[in-house]
Amino acid sequence: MASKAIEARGLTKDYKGVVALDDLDLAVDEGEIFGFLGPNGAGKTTTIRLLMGFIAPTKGTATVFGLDARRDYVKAHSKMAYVPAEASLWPSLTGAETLALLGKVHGSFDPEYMKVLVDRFDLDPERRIRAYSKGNRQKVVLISGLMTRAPLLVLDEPTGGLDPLMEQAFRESIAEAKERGQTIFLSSHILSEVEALCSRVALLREGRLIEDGSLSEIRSLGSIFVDIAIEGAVPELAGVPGLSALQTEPSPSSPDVTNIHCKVKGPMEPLLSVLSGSNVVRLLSREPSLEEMFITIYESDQKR
Amino acid sequence: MILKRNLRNGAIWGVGFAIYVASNGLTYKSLYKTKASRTALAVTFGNNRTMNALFGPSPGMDTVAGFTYFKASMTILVIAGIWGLLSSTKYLRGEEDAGRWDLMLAGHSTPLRQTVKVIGSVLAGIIPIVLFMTIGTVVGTDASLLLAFWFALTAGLMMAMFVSIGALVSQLGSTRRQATLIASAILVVAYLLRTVAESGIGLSWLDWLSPFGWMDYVNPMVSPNPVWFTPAIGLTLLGIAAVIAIAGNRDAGAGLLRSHDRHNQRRVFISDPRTLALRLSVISFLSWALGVVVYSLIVGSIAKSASKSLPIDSISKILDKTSGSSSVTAPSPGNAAASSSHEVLMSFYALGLVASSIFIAVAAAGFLTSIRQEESEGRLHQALSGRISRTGWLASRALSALAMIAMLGFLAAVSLWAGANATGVRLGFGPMVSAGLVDVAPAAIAIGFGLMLFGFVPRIASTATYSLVAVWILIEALEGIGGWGHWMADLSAFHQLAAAPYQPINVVPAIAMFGIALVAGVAGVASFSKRDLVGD
Repeated sequence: MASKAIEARGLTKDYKGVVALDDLDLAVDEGEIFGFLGPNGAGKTTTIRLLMGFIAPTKGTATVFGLDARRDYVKAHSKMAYVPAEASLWPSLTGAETLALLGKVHGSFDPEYMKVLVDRFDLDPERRIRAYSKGNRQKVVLISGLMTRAPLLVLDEPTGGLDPLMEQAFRESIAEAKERGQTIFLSSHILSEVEALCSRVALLREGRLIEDGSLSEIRSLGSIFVDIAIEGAVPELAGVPGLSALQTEPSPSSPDVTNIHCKVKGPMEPLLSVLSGSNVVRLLSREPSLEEMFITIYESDQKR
Repeated sequence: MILKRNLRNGAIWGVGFAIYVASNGLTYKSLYKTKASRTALAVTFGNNRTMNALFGPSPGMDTVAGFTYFKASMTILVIAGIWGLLSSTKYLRGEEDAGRWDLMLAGHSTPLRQTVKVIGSVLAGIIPIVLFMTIGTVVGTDASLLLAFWFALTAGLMMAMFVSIGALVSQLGSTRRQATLIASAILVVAYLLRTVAESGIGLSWLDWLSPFGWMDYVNPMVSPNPVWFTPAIGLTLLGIAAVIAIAGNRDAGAGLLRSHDRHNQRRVFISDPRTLALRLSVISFLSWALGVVVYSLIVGSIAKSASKSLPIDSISKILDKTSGSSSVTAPSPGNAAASSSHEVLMSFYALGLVASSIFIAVAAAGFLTSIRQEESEGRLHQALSGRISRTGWLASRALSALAMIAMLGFLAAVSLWAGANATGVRLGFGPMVSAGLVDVAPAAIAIGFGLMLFGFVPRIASTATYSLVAVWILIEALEGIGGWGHWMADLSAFHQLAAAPYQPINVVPAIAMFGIALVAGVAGVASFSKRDLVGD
């Protein structure tokens, strides 16, 4: 069994009656890239601030490599690097000075790798922070986290303000970190980013964890998108178990053909058995994207 | 919103100015009751070139109104100038730096309209200042409403001029810091021009080039000459016209002057956030140090001439009110004249040290504010994401602040000592340095109190620390008026200081104050290590 980089048990944070995080149970294995998803205000940053020991839990505990995130935060910090969502830095320092400072704040960093990252992210390190754009300031904190080669990278919406080219540079850097066996805790609401990088995700809503698992597990919770083309008579599909969002329309290219679009949750067998007596000319199915999953899960959670 | 904030801010400053002017007038009336004593004082100051160079001409010094104007006007005019330039650079260039200016321009406003609106709002804040200062002047000096209004208007127009100058340099500078530095330099040059003009070396025409000089010519409390308001109004309007010409024709966020946004890496003091704090405090510390050194040198060097023929009872009364200890015993009749003159001189130095102590306490509140800003602006999260403990971070910041105030106390004492020595007055170096260090005890309390609040209620730490120092200063000012119970004066930390070298150094209250500061500071650091990090 893999040892845990992060473990939270019943983690709760209450701000004067407003529950920002409610009874969170979470475990992230060493070497894993873990996606932490949720809309604005879901409690992602609160969770990260608790993991960093910046705030104290109202209830519950969080550990980082077995160290209490609140009590032993100095020891824990030596094993982790933090990239905040908003880069609040010292305006009068240059990018290079800031990187040197943040490297020393962490205690150790790889100067050669820092140079690689500065080139990769196309950062001009001679300029003062106050002259940087938001994206360039974000590059500084991103480089400062990655260059430490810390066993755990805690990234709070790290690519906010980065352009698509830099997003590629970020993904390349995360792939390198994974190769080196680093654990990555990636909070984001950019679903394509999480889908491309993470092996496991957790979904948070209004401070509560609503799903946690591998991408395939999460996908199994959702529906499969099915497109069918039938020539001739169309069987009755409305009562097929697990089928939803049924839409039918005549094919624009052939008047005898009917196009059917639907979603199927659970086994495909009931649908296939109903279709077996029909002249199916095309049947396409695809798994939902994480974005579609996200919306489905959130909608169903909202109904609950 | 800016208008509302400026009106409120103006009302607070107006009340402060009113109390300051009133206390000066009332103190004069209580100290110089007879015609003879007032005449003696007027002769002393009227013939003293150094005092005139520093504080301005002294017509009508034998009247309450004349003395009050002489005593209070320069301080008020300097503060008024600082208020004006800081207000306009804050709300113009500061808003551009923070990125909020773009949001304003994204609405129906244009750069020109928005700029004029902000300048108008800041200028509106001057109205309550003039109003309250007029009332304070009438109450404290028995001057007519019109004379009091002319006096208040000198402050109001000084503010307006520097609002206009601040607005102009906000168009030129590309950062708030750059704009503030340029405007501050203009204020300093204006003051120096007037000082040189009044120093009696044949350059009195320089007065015409300085806003301070124009206000001297107005002479509002003795023989008012409001025509001299014209250049002030002209400069204000000229500055605003220049702003209007520039504001609509430049890019938002950019200034006409180039900023130095690029330089090679300087490795000094970036080994961790604690040493970085020292690096970032250098300019602030050096500014305070320069102010304290210049002020103390001036006091040290003019004391001998300024104290000549000042009656001992006048100055010792002020000291007795300022400090908690009673004055020295009366000299024997045989040595009365020499001893009295020596006492006046020593008390002049003592007043200089007490004034430095007040500056240093204000500086201490500023150092505490910079600690809080690291947290409120989000940089502390970054600084504490590594191997530095919270306790270590805050304790080192507190020690740096204490070291800086100790250095300021030392510099004040040494500069005073040097100024005195330059005029042939031999003061003991050791006792003066001891007195300087003891006099930073109120600043230490301000830091300790601020740290305690930072640990328990961080959001109010900065404002409350400044407020504490302001209350102490207010108590000192009100104490001059008299009629307050001793318990009230005891609430001021400045009141606990012995007026060395006029009185012997009393280390007991100083040790008690340092002890209180230590306990409060330790409690604050302990609480900070347990509490959540919080933003604004």
